[in-house]
Amino acid sequence: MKEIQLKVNGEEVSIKSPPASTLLDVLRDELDLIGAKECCGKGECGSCSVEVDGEVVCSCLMLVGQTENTNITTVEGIGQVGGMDVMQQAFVDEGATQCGYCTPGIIVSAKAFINSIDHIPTDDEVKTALGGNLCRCTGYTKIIKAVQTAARRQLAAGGAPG
Amino acid sequence: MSNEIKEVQTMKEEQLKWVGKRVKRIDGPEKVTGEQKYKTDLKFPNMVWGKVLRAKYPFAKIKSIDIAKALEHPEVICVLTHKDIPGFNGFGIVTPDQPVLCEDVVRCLGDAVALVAAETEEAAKEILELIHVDYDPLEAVTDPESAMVQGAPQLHPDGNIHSHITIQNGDIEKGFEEADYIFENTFYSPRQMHAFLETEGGWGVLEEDGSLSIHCPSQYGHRDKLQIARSLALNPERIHIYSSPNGGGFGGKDEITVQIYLALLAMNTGGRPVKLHLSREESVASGIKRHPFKVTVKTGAKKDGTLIAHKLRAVADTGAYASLGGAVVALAIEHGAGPYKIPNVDMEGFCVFTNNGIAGAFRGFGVNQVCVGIETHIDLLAEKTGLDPIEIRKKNAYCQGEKSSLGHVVTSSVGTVETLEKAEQSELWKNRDVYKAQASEPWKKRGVAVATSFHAIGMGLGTPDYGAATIELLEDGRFKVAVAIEEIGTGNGTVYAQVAAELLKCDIEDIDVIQGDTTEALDSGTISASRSTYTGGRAIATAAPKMIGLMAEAAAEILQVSADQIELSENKLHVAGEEKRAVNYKAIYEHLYEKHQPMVVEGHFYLPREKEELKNSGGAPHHFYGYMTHVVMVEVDTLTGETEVLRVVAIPDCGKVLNPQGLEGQCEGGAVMGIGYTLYEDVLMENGYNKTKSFTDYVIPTIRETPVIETIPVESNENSGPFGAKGIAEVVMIPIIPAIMAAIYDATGARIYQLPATPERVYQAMQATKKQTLTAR
Amino acid sequence: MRVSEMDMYSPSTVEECLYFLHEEEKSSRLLAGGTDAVVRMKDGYFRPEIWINLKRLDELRFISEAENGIHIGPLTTHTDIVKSELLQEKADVLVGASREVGAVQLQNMGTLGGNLATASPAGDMIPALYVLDAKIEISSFHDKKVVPIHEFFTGPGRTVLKQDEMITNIIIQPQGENEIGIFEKLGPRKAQSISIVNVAINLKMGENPRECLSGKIAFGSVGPTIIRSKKCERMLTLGPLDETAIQNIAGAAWKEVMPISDVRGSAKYRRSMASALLERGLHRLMQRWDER
Ligand SMILES: Cc1cc2nc3c(=O)[nH]c(=O)nc-3n(C[C@H](O)[C@H](O)[C@H](O)COP(=O)(O)OP(=O)(O)OC[C@H]3O[C@@H](n4cnc5c(N)ncnc54)[C@H](O)[C@@H]3O)c2cc1C
Ligand code: FES
Ligand code: FES
Repeated sequence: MKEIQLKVNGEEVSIKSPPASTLLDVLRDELDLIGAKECCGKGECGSCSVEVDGEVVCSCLMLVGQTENTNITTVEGIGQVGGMDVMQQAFVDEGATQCGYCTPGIIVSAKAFINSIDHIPTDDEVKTALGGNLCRCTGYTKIIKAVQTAARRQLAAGGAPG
Repeated sequence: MSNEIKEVQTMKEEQLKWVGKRVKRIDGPEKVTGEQKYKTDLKFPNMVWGKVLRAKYPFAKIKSIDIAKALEHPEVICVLTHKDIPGFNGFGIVTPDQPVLCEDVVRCLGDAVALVAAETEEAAKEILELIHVDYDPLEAVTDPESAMVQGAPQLHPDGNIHSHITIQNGDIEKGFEEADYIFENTFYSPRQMHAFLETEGGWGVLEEDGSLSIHCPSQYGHRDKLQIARSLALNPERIHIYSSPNGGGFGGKDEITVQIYLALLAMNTGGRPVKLHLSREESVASGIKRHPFKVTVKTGAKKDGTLIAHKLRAVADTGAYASLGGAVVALAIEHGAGPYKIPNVDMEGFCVFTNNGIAGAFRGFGVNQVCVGIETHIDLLAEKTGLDPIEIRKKNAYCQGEKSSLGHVVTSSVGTVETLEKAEQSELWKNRDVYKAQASEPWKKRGVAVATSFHAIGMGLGTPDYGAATIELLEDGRFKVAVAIEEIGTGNGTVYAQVAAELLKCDIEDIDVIQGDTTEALDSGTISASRSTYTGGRAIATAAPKMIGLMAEAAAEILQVSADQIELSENKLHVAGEEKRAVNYKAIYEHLYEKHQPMVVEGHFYLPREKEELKNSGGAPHHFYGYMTHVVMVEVDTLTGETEVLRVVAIPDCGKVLNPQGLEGQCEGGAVMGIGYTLYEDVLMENGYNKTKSFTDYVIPTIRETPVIETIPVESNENSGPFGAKGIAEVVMIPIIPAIMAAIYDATGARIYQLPATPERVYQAMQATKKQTLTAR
Repeated sequence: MRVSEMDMYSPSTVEECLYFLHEEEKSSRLLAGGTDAVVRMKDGYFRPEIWINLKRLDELRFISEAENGIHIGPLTTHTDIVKSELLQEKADVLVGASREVGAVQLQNMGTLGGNLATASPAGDMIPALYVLDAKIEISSFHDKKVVPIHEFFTGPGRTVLKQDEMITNIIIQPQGENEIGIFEKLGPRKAQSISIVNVAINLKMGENPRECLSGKIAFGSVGPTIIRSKKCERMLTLGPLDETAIQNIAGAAWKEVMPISDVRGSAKYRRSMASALLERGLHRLMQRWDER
C-alpha cells in the first residue's frame, strides 16, 4: 500500500493503494468513478480511456503509481446529466450510443480530439482519432457524425477549442 | 385483430406526435455521461469475490475433485462443487443438459467444475489453483461430420446428433430434371463471437428476508429465475432478477451466463454479497458462439431466371451442449431457400455435438450461415443467363398472399420486391460502373453487388410467445410503464415510451419505463427473435386503452357525467364538446387515491402464429418476417487480398418505422457486424482448445473499417403490429454477407466459399482463378 | 508475487535509475508506457518485486539533431514521433511506423525504448530503425556503449540488454534531400492490429527519373528477428524503378524471408506478402517521388 496523490476531475485526492494496481481499478473501486469500463484489460478496446495530463490513455494499462501528481480527467469530469458537454449532447442528439458501454471511453477520446483541432474534422480524421475505441453496437456511423456535430457547435460557440 | 389495435392502426400519420419520429433515446444522457450503472458497476458493502474453475480439457472424465488445500487458504470464504447443488445440476433453455458444476465428465473448456468465493479477487484466483481435479482425458470430438458417424465417441447418452430438421415441398427430383441450370456448392462459416463489450458478470445477494437477488445482465430475467430455482431447489417467487441494462447482448446473454453461479455462491457466503465478472479471456473461452455451419447447396433454375429446385444440407457445430442449437438449425432450414417461391425444395439440417465450446443464440440465428447459398447461386444464375441479378430476385420473391418455398401462404406483410426496387433506384446501384472505375490505387479493384434476405420475427410454433405490460398512474400525473423485456442497446425502452406517450396523449418525459426487473414487470418473453419492439409495443398498446378507460371513469365521476361522454386530449380528459370541462391526470390520481382505487392496468397478448407446423421443421413457419436488401461496394487490394467495404445501402422492411434514428442505428450496427462476420471474425479452435483467446486475435471492426452507410426504409404496413411495425434487429446483418461475397467476386473474379474472407483467403482465391485462367488458355 | 504486493520506484534522474538497477537486490523491471509490460504482468509473466517507473525521466524524452545523427530518447512516445517536424522531414519511415502502432491511446502511451526492448518480431518500429541505420545507446551505472541495431537483438523477445542496463538514446541517420522512405504494414484490420508482415523501405534517389542510387529494405514478422533483404536492395540500383523493375524486385523478396505459420497467417501467405508489400511500397514511393 502506498499513499498516492492524484488530481482527478480537478480535485486533489489522496488514495491508499498498491502502486501496481491499474489506474482503472483505482478509479472504479476507490473513487467510485465507474464511467470508464474494463472490457479487455489489455489495451485493445479503449473503453477504459481517460485523459492523463492532456493525453488519452488506456487506464487498464497504466499503473496508478505512475500517475502520482498527474491530472486525470474521466468522463464524469467532462459533463454530467444536469450539464452535459457539447460532445455528450451531440452523442445524444445524433443517436450515437446504443448499449452505451463503450460510450464513456469514446466521449473521452472524442473530446480530447476536438480540443486538439480547430476545424470540423473529416470522416477520416475522426476514424484515426477513434481507432482505439471499439463499439459493437452502433456501427460507428452516428459516432462520426456526432463528433463532427460537436466540433461544429464548439467552433460556433466560441471558436477556441477547449 | 383486437379493438385496441384497430384503433391504433387507424391513427393517421399526421396525428402522430411521438411514433415515427426521431425521438432521442430517453436513456441517452445517462449513457453519455457514464452515469448509467450497469450490473457489473454496482457495489455492495461487505462484498466477496467469486471465481469459476473451468475445465482443463475439452473432453475428460473427472476422477476426483480435491478441495482440501483450497479450503486452507487464509482468504477463502467457500469452495463449491457439484455436491453443493441443492437442486437439479443442469441448465439450458430447451434441454437442461449443461451441468452447473461438472460431476463426472467435462465436455468443453467452458465447463465449470468448481466455484470459489474469497476476500479479494487475487485470493480467489489463487484458490482456484489450489483445487486439484484429477482428469482422465478423452479423445475430443471436434469435427461435426465425424461426430455424426457411428462409432464416434459420444458426448451425450442420446448420441451426438442433437436434432435433425427437414423441410420438403414439391418434388425435388422433378425440379432438377426440369432445370436448365444447376449450381452446387459448399459453404463454410465462422465461429463468430458476440463480443459484447460488457463481459458476463454481476452480483448475487442473499437478502435479509431470505430472498435472493441476482443483478446480472441478461436477455430474459423471468426465465433465468426459473433456471436458478431449478438448480437451487428454491421457490422462484423468492428469486428476484435485475437484468437491465446490458452492455450488449446480441443473443449471447439469452442463455444462463453466470446467474446460477452467483446464486449458489450467494447462498454460501454467510449473507455477504458476491461479485463475479469474467475477464475477456474467460468470456471468449466459456461464452456462447455462433454455430459454424457447413452448408451444401444445390439450386436448379430455368433459362428465364425462374428458380425451380433447391436442395440444402447443413451441418452445424453446436459444441458441447444444446442451449438453443436445435432452434438455430430449425430457423436456418426454414430460411434456407431465401424469401423466394421455389416450388421444389428439400432441405435438412443437423445440429451436432462436439467438444468445441458451446454455440447458441446469436443475432441472425442460423440465417446468416444459409443465406449465402441461395444468394450466391442467384448471382451465378445471373451470370450464366445474362439476366439482371435484381430482376431474378424480384421474379422469384414471394409477395404477401403468395406461397413461399415452404408451401405455406404468407399472409403477413412482405417487402422484398419494394426493397429490391429501392436498391435498383439507389444512387450507388445506378452509378455502379462510374464508382467501380474510381479505385483509389492502380492495383485495387472495386465491385458492387446486391443481396436480399429475410428473418422471422417471434418464436415460431411450439414455443410460448406472449407479451405483457403494466401501466401505472403516478402521483404526479405521470405514468410508469413496465415491460420486462430488457434493454440491451437497441433502445426498445425509448420505443415503449413513444408508444405509451402517443396512446396516453402525454409528453414522453411523463413516461418512466421499467425493464429487466422481475419484481416490477410481468413476464413478456425474451429480448431476441427481433421481437421486442413488436411485443413490448403491442403489450403497451393493449394496456393503454385500459388505463384510458380507468381514467375516463374517474373523470366521469369528477365531472359528473357518464363515462362515454368523456374524451381524451393532451394531458387531460374532458367532456365531449366542452374542452373547458376537463381534469388533468394528476387530479385523476388524487381522485383514485382518495377512493382507494387501483391505478395499475395490465395488457396481455399472444403473438400471432400460423395454424399448422410443418412436419419435422422444429417450429416453421413463422407468421411474419422482416425483409431486407443490401447494396455494397468493396475495394480489394489485389496485391494483398485485403477487402475494404466502402459503401453500404441498407434497405429494410420492418413495417412501420417507429423511430427512424433507432432503425438507422440497427441498420448501421448490423451492417458493421455483418462486415465483421464476412471479413474478419472467427474464434479458431484446435482439438477443442481455443487458439483465439482474446480481443488481440478476435478481430472485430474498428471505426476505421466503417463504410458510408445509408438507410432507406421500406414501410410495409404489418396489420397486426403496433402502429404497423414488425421487427428488424437481426436481418440487418444478413444480406450484407452474401452481398460482400458477391462484390469481391465482382471486383476480382474470385468466389469465396469460406468465411471470414480474410486477406489470406481472398488472396488465395484470386491466385486460384489466375491459375484457372492460365490453364484454360 | 501478488500484484498487490509489488512495489514501485520512480527515479527522477537517469543516474538514480542506473544506481538503483546496480544496487537493488530485489527483482525489478523497467516500466515505460506499460503497454507491453503491464499486459505481461496481467498474464502472469512479469512479476517483479519492484517496478521502476521511468515516466519521470523527462531527460529521456527528446528528439534532437546532432552531428552524428538524430537523437531520440527512449521515452519518446509514438505520438511524439508522429508530431515531430524534424522526423517528418528526415525520418518519414519512422513516423510512418509510429502512425501504424495500435491506435491513439497506444501511441500516447507506448515508447520507442519499450518497443525496442520488447523485441517483438512483429514490432513495427524495428524495421524502420533498421533502414535508418539506428544505433542504440545502452547505459549501466559504470558503463555506456553504443550498439548498431542489428547487434541489439538476439532472438524473438531477446536483446543484449542486461539486468542492470537500460536504453538511454537511439541515434538514427537523417534522410538527405534525395531520400524517401515508407513503412508498409499488413494487419488483420486497419487499427489495433498486429503485423502479419511489415516492411520498411528507404531509398536514395538519383538525378535521372526514378533512378535509385541505393536503398535499404527491412522486413518484420517474417522471421525470428528483422530481415534485411540484401538481394532486393541490390536490384534497386539496376535501372529506373519503373513498373517492371518494381515487379521484378518484389518478385525476389519472398525467397529472402523465413516466416512461420500462426493464427494470423500461414508461412506461405507471409512469403507472398513480403513480395506484395514491397511492391506496394515501391509503387507508392515512386508515385510520391514523381509528384514531389
Ligand atoms: C493493444 C496493443 C496494440 C499494440 N499495437 C502495436 C503495434 O501496432 N505495433 C507495435 O510495434 N507494437 C504494438 N504494441 C506493443 C507496444 O505498445 C509497443 O511495443 C510500445 O512501443 C511499447 O512501449 P512501452 O513504453 O509501452 O513499453 P513497456 O511496456 O513500458 O516496456 C516494454 C519492455 O521494455 C522494457 N523497457 C522499457 N523502456 C526501457 C528502456 N529505456 N531501456 C530498457 N528497457 C526498457 C520494459 O522493461 C519492458 O520489458 C501494442 C500493444 C498493445 C497493448
Ligand atoms: S479495458 Fe482498457 S483497453 Fe480494453
Ligand atoms: S454502444 Fe454498445 S458497444 Fe458501443
